Amino acid sequence: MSLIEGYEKDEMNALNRILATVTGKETDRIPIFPMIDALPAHIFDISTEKYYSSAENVVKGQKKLQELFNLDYISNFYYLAIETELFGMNSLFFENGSPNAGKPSVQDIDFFLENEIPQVQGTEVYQKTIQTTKGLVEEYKGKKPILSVQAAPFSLPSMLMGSSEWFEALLMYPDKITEVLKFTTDFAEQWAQGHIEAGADVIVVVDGVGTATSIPKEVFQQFVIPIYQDLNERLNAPIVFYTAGGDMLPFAEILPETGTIGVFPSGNDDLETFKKKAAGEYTIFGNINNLEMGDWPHDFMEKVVKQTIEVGKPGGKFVLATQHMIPHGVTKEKIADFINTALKYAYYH
Amino acid sequence: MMKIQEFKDTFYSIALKRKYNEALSFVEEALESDIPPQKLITEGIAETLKQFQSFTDEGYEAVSAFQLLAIGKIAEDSIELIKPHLEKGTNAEKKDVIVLGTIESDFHALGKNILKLFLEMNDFQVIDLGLDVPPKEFIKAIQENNANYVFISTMMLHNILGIKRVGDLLKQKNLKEKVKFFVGGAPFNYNYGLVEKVGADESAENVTELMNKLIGSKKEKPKENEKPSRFKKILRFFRRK
Repeated sequence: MSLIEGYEKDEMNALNRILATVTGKETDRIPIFPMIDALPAHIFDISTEKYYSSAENVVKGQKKLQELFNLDYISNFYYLAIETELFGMNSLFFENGSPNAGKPSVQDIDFFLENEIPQVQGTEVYQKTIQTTKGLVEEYKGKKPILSVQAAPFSLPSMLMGSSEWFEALLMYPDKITEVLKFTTDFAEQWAQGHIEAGADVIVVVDGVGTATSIPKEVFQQFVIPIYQDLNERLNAPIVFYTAGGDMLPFAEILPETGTIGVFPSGNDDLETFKKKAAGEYTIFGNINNLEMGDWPHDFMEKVVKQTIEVGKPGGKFVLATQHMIPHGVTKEKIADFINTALKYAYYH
Repeated sequence: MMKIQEFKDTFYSIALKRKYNEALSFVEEALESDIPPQKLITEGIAETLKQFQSFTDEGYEAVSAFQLLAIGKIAEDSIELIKPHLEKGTNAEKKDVIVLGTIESDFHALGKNILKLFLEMNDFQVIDLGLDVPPKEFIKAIQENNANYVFISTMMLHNILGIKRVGDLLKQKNLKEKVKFFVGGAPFNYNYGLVEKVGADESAENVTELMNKLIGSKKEKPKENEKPSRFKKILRFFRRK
């Protein structure tokens, strides 16, 4: 049973709405993207480990989210650490939170120089994610944008080695970094291609380490921009830069060089300034504070949502989104309040 | 012959550009000069660190985690080069003891490691418990080392339950009055109310804010109405015209 009271003024389906938004064409309203991961596990009253153990569960979970919220997107996202399992790492599961990467398996930067990328095809982990994409395509292709979410080539080493070790490598062995990033870009391409072939519409690249919170502008220009240019050449699908809550405003003006079609600024980034700096070159998905929203009474939710839409909506190329995944403690009623409130202000006419 | 001012200026400039190998070669060159090795640390490297710490006052646009880690690592390894040249007994007495670590199930080392570098540069004695530390281990380390502070960080919201467990244990073991409890990481930066919820005394968004609180806490208590800077940024959003 749907928790959403609005949508009666909708004149487009979700796919056409997002396509029009990212291409700067007229839409009926701004798309609404509350970023949700394992909420269905809690609704089904099963552990996150069990929920993520099969494609069937995740497809069923995504369908449940559509039934509850009729979201403007559909996503094959499991958890970011899933890719590290192909490098021998164990993901950690929690009752009340998203799975996280376990102890790093790569001890030295030379690992990337001396080894071939792991082949994803045929592995149980990868197959399960592919089956998920296929299951979602079967139900939603042509109706909703199907997002395929994966780790960024620049961020993957920080999960595999540890973030300190990755940054020390950037500092101490700058000559080796391009080779490392070729390895991780090859891996990212391999992961993405299967999902594109399975029918995913958009590749969402999670790159918390590639943000201004983590690196200075010159490192972004030297290493991160070329990665996205390379990925854009290799992949026949648009890419969205997902910052996972990292600040992005200092890079807003140079982001078009990446060729990505959109970005998720952090809740800390000033949306008005971001809009100006983006100058309509890409779509902004932003930037509701996911960590605080669970505590907001309705009136405060309305104030934040209204003001965010007022800043983001003019000129289009804006999607109302949470800056990152909504924490597990936030109830489905609170998420519904967010969407219902947004619908009051989201329409253009 | 190289003078201390020249060392200071050049070291700062190299560190700013994150030229690791160049910095270490330059320190080796300076060790051949007449500048006393102790002075290279206290008036050269320490001053550089202070300048970098002040960068964080300018806001998040001015500094990144990588920049902080880089300067910290350059300073740490430079000091390691100088140490064998120091005369015995010239090391400054370490100040307070700080127990540091990430909470159980958290393997995000970056913030902790940056903090450790800066704390050590400021003469605190740091007991680094590393990553994925169970709540009881923090208490054990506090008791064994007679620590004055415990610093715990996490990047994951659900891990704050483990941090709250540390807060509860500090109360149970009657350590609350003796040990100041700092927490840090993204969940606290974006939701300052969590600091109180886990039973912590303080949180800081960056190194400067932390150092001010640490050193300032001995002199005066923070004003009651004082809001943390991240909170100020959020408030600013709503006050815009």
